[in-house]
Order: sequence, then C-alpha cells, then structure tokens
Amino acid sequence: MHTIVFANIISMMAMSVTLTMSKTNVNNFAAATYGTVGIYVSFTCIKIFGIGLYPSLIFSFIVGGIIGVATHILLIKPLKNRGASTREIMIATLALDTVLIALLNIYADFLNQTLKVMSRDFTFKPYDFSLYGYDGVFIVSSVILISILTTLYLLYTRTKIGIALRGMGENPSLSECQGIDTEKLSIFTWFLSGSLPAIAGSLFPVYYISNPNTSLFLGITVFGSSILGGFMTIYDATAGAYIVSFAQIYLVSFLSSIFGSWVLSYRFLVPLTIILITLLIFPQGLYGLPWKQLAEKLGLLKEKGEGES
Amino acid sequence: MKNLLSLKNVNSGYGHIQVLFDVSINAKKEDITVIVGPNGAGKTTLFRTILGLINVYSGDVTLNGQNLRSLPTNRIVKLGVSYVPQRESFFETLSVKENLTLGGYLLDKDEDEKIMEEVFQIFPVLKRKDYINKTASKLSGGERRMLSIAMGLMKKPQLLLLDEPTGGLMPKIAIAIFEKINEIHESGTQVLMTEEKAEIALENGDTAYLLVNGQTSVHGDAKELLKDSELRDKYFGLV
Repeated sequence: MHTIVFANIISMMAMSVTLTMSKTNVNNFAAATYGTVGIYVSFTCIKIFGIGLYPSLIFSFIVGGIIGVATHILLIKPLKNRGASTREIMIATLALDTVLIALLNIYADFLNQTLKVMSRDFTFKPYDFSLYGYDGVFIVSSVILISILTTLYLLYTRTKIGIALRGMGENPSLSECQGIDTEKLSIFTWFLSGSLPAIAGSLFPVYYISNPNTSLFLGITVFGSSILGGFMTIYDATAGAYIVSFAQIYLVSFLSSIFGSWVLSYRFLVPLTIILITLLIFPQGLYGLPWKQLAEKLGLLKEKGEGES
Repeated sequence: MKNLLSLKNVNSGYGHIQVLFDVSINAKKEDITVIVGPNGAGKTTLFRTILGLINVYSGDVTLNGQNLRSLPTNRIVKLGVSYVPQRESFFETLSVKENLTLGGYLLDKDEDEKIMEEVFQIFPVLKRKDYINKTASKLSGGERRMLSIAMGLMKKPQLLLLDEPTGGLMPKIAIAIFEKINEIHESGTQVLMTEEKAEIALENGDTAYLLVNGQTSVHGDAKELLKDSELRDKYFGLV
C-alpha cells in the first residue's frame, strides 16, 4: 500500500514535469517543490484553520495552480520574450526551486516562532481515515490519479482545447496560425503543472515525515520518472513513476536485507541509475520505444514456439 | 477594385537581421496575387510579417483598412487571414480529422461540421475512411499539401496566404493543386501566394510582384510579367 501511494504521488509530480516539457518546452526543476508548497498549504489548513486533510486538497490545488501560473507569467514568459534559450530557462527554474525552498523555510520558521506550531518533521497520519482496512490516502491518491488520467485522456482526445494543447506541444507557431491563443493554453498548462504536484504533496506527509526541504529528496525520483517516461505523455510519465517508485522501494529493501540498513541511505542511486540507463540506452524513454515492433516480435516468437512444438 | 491587404513601406526581419526592405504590396479583392522570386528572396518572411510572427521595424500592414501591426497572430487569424506555410504546415502527430478540427478551431461545432463538408467537396480524398483517422505524417507529399490547404480553408478566410503551395511536388500534382486554388478563389476567397515555379504561378495569377533580395522590384499584371523576356531569363529561369 505504501509503495502504491508513493508511486501515485510521484506520478502526479512527474505529470507536471512532463506537461510543461511537452506543451511549453520548459524543463521545470521546481515541480517537486510545488509539492512541498502543497504540504504547507495542507499543514496551514489543518493546524491553523482546523480544516481536515482531504478538504485541504482543494486549497492545495488552487494555491499550487496559482504558483504554476505565476511561474509562467513572472519567470518563463519574460525570459522567452527576451530570447532566452531552453537551457537558460531550465537554470532559471533551478533558481526558482531554491527560492521556493528558502521561502518555505522562512514560512516554517514563522509558524514555529510566531504561532508556536511545530512546523518541521511532521506527518499527517493522525488526520487520515481507514475504510475496509485500506488507508484513506491509498484510496484517495488512487482515485485522484485515475481521475486525472481519465479526465486528461478525454480532454486530449475529445475536445478542441485538448487537441489544441497537443498541437501546441508539437508546433506553437503553427497553433497560433490556426487562431489558437497559445498564451491561454500555456496558462492552463502551468496551472495544472502547479496544482497536480501540490495535491500530491498534500498526501505525502500521511506516510512520510515532511519538512520544507522534502522536495530535495523527491526531485530525483520525479525527474527519473519523467526521463524514463520520455517527457511526452502523462501516461508514460505515470508508467515511469510506477517503475522508478517500485524499483526504489523494493530494490533498496531487498539490498538492505542482504547488506544491512546502511544501504537505505543510498536509495537515491536507484532513480539516478535509471536516469543513466535511460539516457544511454533509450534516451526517448518509454514513449520512444518501438512498442508496435516489440509486440509484433513477441507475436512472431509465439508463432515460432507453436511451430517448434 | 478595393485593396483587401496592403503593405506599405514595410521593413521587417528576424531580431536585428533585416530581411524585407521597404516592401509595398496591394492585394486586391477578387484577385489572385502572386509573389514570385528566387530562393531566399524573403517570400516566407513576407507572410510571417503579415501574420505578426516576426518583428516589423517600420511600415504598415493593413487588412480592410485595419492595421495588423502589434496584433498577436491568433487575432490576425480571427480577422480572416489564413496562412498555409510551406513547411511544418500541419501537425504530424495528429490525425487528418484532428488537423482539420484545429484548422477550424475558431468555429463553433455546427459551423465546424458544415465547413468541413464544404472542404471535403474540394478535397474528397481526405474524407475517405482510410484517410480521416490516419496520422498526418503518414500522408504522401500531395496529400500533405491538400491537408494543409484544407486546414487553411477550414477558417473560412477572407484571405488565404499560400506559401509555395506546390513546393517539392511533381508537376502533375502541382497542376492539380493549382486547379484547386482556382476553385477556392472562384468560391470567393482572396488568395495571396508565393511560388518558386514562376511560370505556372503567373499563368494562374492576376497580379504579380517580383521579390528580389527583400525588395519588390517589379509588379504588374501576372500574364504580362510572364511575357517579359528579361524577367523570364533573369529571374524565372525560363527561355
């Protein structure tokens, strides 16, 4: 159950990275920290305003979305207007990540010193519920992930705006020439890219101790998932997130059972290794794999097998 | 005849690199206006200037008297200008139907279906069951041009800008494309096109401009320009 919850959370964060990359060509290193923003929005709702964990997700969704849009309007758009390269914009998002983490630390200190609330190294476990033996966070994170995947699938395939979003990802200039307001679609994309990790972040402290620096530990796993997915579709990002999350948790616990608990400190080597393998062997990730040929090959192997028998 | 589109002393380019120098063009209503010129003359830049896709340093671009300068591209398209680029003129990863849907992005659903049927009258091949859901990248060269022009028509434009509509196509297919362009023009859409294949373009055009090194050096009746032996020899590659 823990692993699935972790994978669901990483999936939503990896979707954010993939959305901004595939639709606006921005590699956003601050995506995981939007998750920490979600953690502190829920923390504030619970501790200061007495709102429950799950109702607080609405506020995380909104605040995360606003921060996503602000990133686009205040940082990405001005840089693009000045002709900044993709690499320069990527570095700017790294700077944003650092600034956001610093602000979250300041906010945690404010809560601690002014309002006397313990704002570091906390969990939301006491605020979760249980249904038929399943933890609420397992049910809620799974329902949210499936809902997002279904909604975005329907949006991308059944609506004009969704098709326009796919078109904008492929060729923004041609999209403008079709009369599509790419600025509005970019704002929509950035809203989603902020709100999805923020919701995911709100769920993270149920199982894991959290603080303002949590994203530093999630970032590599999130990027590993997006790179493995191939940065193109949210479905590949989800598949990448599940593979990386399961590998990170099961492989490390298997190795620690053999070599001892010191191995746990090196758990981030798993996503790092996956990143290396992906970039070296299939740089376009799961998206770029020739699935059709692989399926055909598997079919051929089956036929051969039948012939041999 | 009234001018639909006017460019007056336009200077434009990419960043600090100027490509067009004092270009003035009048595209009259009911005319097919052709811009001919050698490779690198600035024909594509001219269209990108009209669409607001690049910097206009000075001069005026007007449609029906309304200045297009400083308007974003999607607003210019809303005013009735439809652009069919020479390259990257459709979305490769989308199906034929999805491309046409984006072509008619500004239309409401009922209008969308109606215009799509009208477009299918001109390009019946695109309606075929084996084409409509095909990924656009799998189409042949001629089919790709048809799809691009069909996307342009989906906007029900006042003015259709065609950038090298027959570029890279076999002569037989090029002639078929020009037949379609004439059909589109007869249905009431104003056409402004650039073309490297000077002879076929001038034969099919009403007014023509010769663009050389970013400047409009000669203009006049398309058929008359075609008869000019100096131009035929020097710029059109015809003897």
